[in-house]
Amino acid sequence: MEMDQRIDPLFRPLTKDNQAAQAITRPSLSNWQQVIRKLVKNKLAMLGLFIILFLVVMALIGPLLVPYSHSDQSLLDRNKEVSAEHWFGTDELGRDMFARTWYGARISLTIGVVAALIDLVIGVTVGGIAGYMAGRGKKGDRIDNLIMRVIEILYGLPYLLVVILLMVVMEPGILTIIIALSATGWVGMARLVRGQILQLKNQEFIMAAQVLGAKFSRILLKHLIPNTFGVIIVNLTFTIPSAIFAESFLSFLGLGVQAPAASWGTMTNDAMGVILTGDWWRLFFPGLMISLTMFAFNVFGDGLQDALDPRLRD
Amino acid sequence: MKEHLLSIENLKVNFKTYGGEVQAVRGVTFHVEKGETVAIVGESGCGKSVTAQAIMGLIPNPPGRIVDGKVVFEGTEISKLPKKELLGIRGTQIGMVFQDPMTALNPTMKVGAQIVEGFVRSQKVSREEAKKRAIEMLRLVGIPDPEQRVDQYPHQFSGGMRQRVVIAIALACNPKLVIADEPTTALDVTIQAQILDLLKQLQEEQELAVVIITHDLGVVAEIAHRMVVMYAGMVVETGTVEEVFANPRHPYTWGLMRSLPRLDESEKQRLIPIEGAPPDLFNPPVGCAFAARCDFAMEICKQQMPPTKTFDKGHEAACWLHDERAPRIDELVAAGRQDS
Amino acid sequence: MSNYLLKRVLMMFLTLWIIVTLTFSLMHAIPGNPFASESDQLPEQILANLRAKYHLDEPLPVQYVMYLKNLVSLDLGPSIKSDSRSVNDMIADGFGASAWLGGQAIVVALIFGVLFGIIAALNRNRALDYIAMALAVLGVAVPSFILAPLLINYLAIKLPLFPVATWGTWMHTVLPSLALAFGPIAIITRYMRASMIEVMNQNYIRTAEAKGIPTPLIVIKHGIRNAILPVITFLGPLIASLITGTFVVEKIFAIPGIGKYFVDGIFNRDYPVILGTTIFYSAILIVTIFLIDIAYSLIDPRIRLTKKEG
Repeated sequence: MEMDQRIDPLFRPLTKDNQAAQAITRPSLSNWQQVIRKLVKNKLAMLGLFIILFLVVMALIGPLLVPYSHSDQSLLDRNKEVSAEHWFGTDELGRDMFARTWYGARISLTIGVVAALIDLVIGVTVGGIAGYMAGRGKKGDRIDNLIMRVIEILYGLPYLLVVILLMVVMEPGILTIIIALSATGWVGMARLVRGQILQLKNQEFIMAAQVLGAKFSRILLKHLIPNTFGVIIVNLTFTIPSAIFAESFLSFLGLGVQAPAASWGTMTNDAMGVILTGDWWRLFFPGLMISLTMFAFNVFGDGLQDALDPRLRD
Repeated sequence: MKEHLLSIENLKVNFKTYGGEVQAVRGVTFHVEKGETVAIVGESGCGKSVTAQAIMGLIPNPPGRIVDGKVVFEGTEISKLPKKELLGIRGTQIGMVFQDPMTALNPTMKVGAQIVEGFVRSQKVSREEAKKRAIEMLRLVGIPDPEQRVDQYPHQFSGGMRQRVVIAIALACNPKLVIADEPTTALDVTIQAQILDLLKQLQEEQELAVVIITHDLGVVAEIAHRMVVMYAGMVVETGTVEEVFANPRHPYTWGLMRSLPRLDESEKQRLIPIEGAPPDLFNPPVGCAFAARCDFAMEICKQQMPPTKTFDKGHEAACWLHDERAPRIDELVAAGRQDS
Repeated sequence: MSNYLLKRVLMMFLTLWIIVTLTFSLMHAIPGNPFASESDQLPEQILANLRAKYHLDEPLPVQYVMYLKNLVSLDLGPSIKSDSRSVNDMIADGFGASAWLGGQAIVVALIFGVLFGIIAALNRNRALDYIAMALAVLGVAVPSFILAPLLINYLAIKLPLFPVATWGTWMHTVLPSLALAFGPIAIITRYMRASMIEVMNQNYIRTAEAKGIPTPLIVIKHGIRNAILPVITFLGPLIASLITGTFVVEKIFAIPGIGKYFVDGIFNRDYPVILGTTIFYSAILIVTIFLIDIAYSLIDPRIRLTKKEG
């Protein structure tokens, strides 16, 4: 163009081509990548994860590291303080506390994880059915209503009281504890899943998928489950420690794990007498492990919850 | 120099975020006279609301802070006032109307009490007087049955009625200036018109100065005397509403005008959106912020910030097109039209 | 309103009836009988007499109806293990200590939890927030049966400020109340902090700021009242956990409360005691939750007791 020659080059108009369009610079990460990135940045949550892994590893190998079993009694070695032979000391029957602590870890972690997993399966199934049935005609609503009534009543019961009653009725043992904990524990998960599904069902992207003719199974697989997954995982990180807590609580009351088996709860209970004698290690190690477990799962769960919360994402 | 009721000089506000520091407001200057309505116009994120918050000293700190510039109200530099004295100005001298009436009211407090809360504090009045004042204010903003309404809670009011309550709160202490941040955006169209009429009427009756923040040129035309067009944290054009609407001087303002529906033109006239998105204010461009979206951008626009040029009647615009070295606008317009 | 209240009260009785029935069936499904330990020593005739005395020889439905009948007249029946005392006596005996302990713990938990939550929220991401949150994490991590011996060790033995155990003066209540309240303080702190942060970011707080109200007054008049609502909804489960918490705390501190009778009842397989205390606890819990709902509606004008929440 002739115009270009007579003007200051600075004032030459830019054509559309040399106007570099501003690209969006932030790399787009998938949802899960973002969650994991955020979680990894959360130091407290990572500490929690580390402690959880440490406890799991020690539960697996800990009892093998010492030449004693959790139930080997040695009357000569009663109430021995922490030493090179007995890293965590011994109890009033001369049993090695190190072996007992990590043996107890196996029991406590197993109970926590298994009970939480049973809660998960029952809760997701029942909650999923209720959420799916709600709003599906008269029959569907009736099923949802019935499930919700049952859940409401169970939810109104004092959780530990029910567990205690069940423990009284059934033969004591690990299996019993798991059954008793799961009998009422699934209710929270079921409520959560139902609520989540009901909420999702009304959202536009689900309706859009329905309008586009997606099959229900596809909607369930591609939309409902992935979108519910987050809250379920977070809930799981809180039900595991609460199951472990309940177990140690019951064992502390003498209703839980029965000798010769031992859990952190029974060890704490056995140690009650030592408050006055000052054999601190008897209470310290099982107490520390319970507290570490609760701490680790809770901070990890908190971190996961934050990472999954899209409102908190930067 | 004549003293303005409110003047803002070279205001700069930054916000710290995880991604770095955002320069939300990058040197804003304008003023408001007594009894005058000034509209601040711009798209979302252009810094208009932050400017309003800065006037009230309501920038949350952290993460936000005023980096530079000042806000002068009746000769006092309120951006430097200690918190305690600022509280004396807020509410009593300057009132504020917020965007979303559904959330601007405390759900657990009676409407009347919310209206006179500031009044009671500054005037130290008795309970009956306060209630009388609340009823009076409700009547002023056109709420029927104020005697009953005064003891109700916000959830018992409709959206439009709540916005009237929010206006009553802003006016409860007879302020000289009211800042209205998108006061009609959250409302239905018919209610919008009612609220604008109310604001206009109150402005005239009470001789209020009003700063109204909006992205809606229709609102500007309806209510404002002067307007300030903001883009990417800066003022690109100011002037009286008549002047700016008749002779817009900045390509961004042209874009805004072209994206406005008009009743007087033929139906075939299409609305033309402004292509692209505002720049990243983490790293604002060195030159004119609008250059990347401007149909008439020149080499210099990318390199240097345009100076502000004054036209008739205080009409100002910051654009290189008004430089004498620049090609004539009509040539560019012609070229631009051919392109598209 | 009154219609809703009536419905709620009916629901309360229905829930209680279900609890009674469930507990009753559970108790009678137990293998072994309450006289198991004596059955070797006692002649068959005396055992039969004992069973007759406690109506254990009647068919189950008859026992059930009898139990319900007594329950209506607020009679929880006799204890099997201690001849002379009824379950009512035990509850009457233990209630004072348990209620005092629980009440004191809940008041302490509410005051400190709410206070710490507010302090943490207002100093978000600053030292005070981190201290409060660390305390909250500790409260969740350390169960009462570990905290209690620690408290005894440090505040009663090493530093003899408080009595080691048992019940008597107010000083006796300090350590058990602390042990009981520690967990709830942590939970309330977390709830209150989250809710306070959310409330302080609400637009109506900005409205109040624009009115020129000083921050402390905004926190009190606009912040706390709105922020405390979610905490109140959480009081129901909290009280439930406090009740169970009293079992261990009463055990550790040798406090003659209901919890002790309940735990003893479990070990002695004393059905009427277990049954009676469970029903008593459940009734207390149900009534508390009902009262909390009413309190909630008084604080939040948006909630009127007309419709049931979903």
